[in-house]
Amino acid sequence: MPNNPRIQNVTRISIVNYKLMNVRSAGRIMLTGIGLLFIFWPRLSAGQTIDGEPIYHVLPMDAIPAIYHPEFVPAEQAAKFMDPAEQVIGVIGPAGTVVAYSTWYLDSHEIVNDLVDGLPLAVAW
Amino acid sequence: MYVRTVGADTLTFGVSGDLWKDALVMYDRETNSRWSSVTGKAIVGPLKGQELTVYPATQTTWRAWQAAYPHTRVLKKPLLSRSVYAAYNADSTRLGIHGRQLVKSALPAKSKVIGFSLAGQAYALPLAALAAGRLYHLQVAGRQLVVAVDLAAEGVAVWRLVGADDSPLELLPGEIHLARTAAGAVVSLTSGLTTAGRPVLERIISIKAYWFGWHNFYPETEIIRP
Repeated sequence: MPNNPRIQNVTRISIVNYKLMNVRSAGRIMLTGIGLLFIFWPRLSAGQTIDGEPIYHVLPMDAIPAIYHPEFVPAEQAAKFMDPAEQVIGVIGPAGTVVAYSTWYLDSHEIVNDLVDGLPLAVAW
Repeated sequence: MYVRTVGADTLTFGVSGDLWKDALVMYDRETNSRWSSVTGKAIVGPLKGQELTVYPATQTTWRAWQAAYPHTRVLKKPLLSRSVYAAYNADSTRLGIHGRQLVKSALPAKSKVIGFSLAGQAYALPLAALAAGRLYHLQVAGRQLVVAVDLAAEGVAVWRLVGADDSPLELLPGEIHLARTAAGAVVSLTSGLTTAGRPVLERIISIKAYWFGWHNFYPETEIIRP
C-alpha cells in the first residue's frame, strides 16, 4: 500500500483483541453454529514451538467460521439488529466508504474477509 | 485490521483453531501459512516471516459511529444481547484457556491495557488510569503523543502530533471524535485530519489487550501512568 497516501498518513492501528478464546464458549459456538448434539472437548495438544511458545491446537480448523462473504445493510436498516451500546470496529475505505463491524458478532467469527473500495481487508478480532 | 495482501497476491483468512501466546492464530487459504492475529506476521508455513500491513480502524459504540457517519454500512448479523465472551471477560481469574500464571506482575493480570511500540520499546497504558471525555498529551520516546479515550466502548486511539504548532488539542464540548487545535481548526479523531484535510495527527499502532496477553508478546513493556 505504499502508494496510498491516506493509509500512510493516517494511521496504523490494529484493533486485534487478545480476548482469548475460551474453551466453553468455543464449544457453545460449535453447537449453535453446526447444530450438532455433542459437546466438543478440545484437546490441548501442543504443537510446534515458535519464539519459545508452543502453538496449541485447541479446535479443528474452521470450527469457528470466519466470514468469507460479508453482507451489509445501510445504517438506517440496522436498528433491528444493532444495539446502540454495541461495540463496533469502524473503518473508512481508501475512497471513503464507511463500514462498521459488531465485535459482539465477531466474537463468534473472529475474522471477516472484506473488500472495501476494492482494498482487500481482514478484520481480525 | 489488516490489508490482506502479500505482494500482488490477495489472501483469505480463516480461523486455524490454534492459539499462540494465548491469542488467535489465523491461516490463509492460499498457502496454509499460520499468522498471529496480534502481530500480523506469518509464524509457520511458506509465508513465514511475511508481515501484513495494518489498516486504520476505530473501536467505538454503534451509537457514536452512526452519529459520526450516518451513511455507514454495517455488517449484517443476528440480534445479540451481549458478547459470547461476557462470562470470560468478567472473570478476573481466568487467563486464557490454559489458566496461565503471571508472577511478579506490575498490573492485575486481567486488567486491560492499551499497548503500543515506539522506537523498539513496548509501552502499555492501563485503561483504568484513563478518564473519559478528555485527551491526554504525553511525551514518550521524544515524541508528542495524544491519547483519545472513548470509554463507553473502551476504545482508545494513540496519535502522534505532527503539526507542532497545533499543540495542545482539546475536545470539542460534548464530542468524543472531534477536537480543536490551539489555532481553532477542527480535527477528526478517526482520521487525524482537519476539516480542510490537513494532517495533524498520525496514528500509532495500538492494541487493547488484557495485561497478561500483552505481556506474553512484550514482556519488556514500560507502563505509562498519565
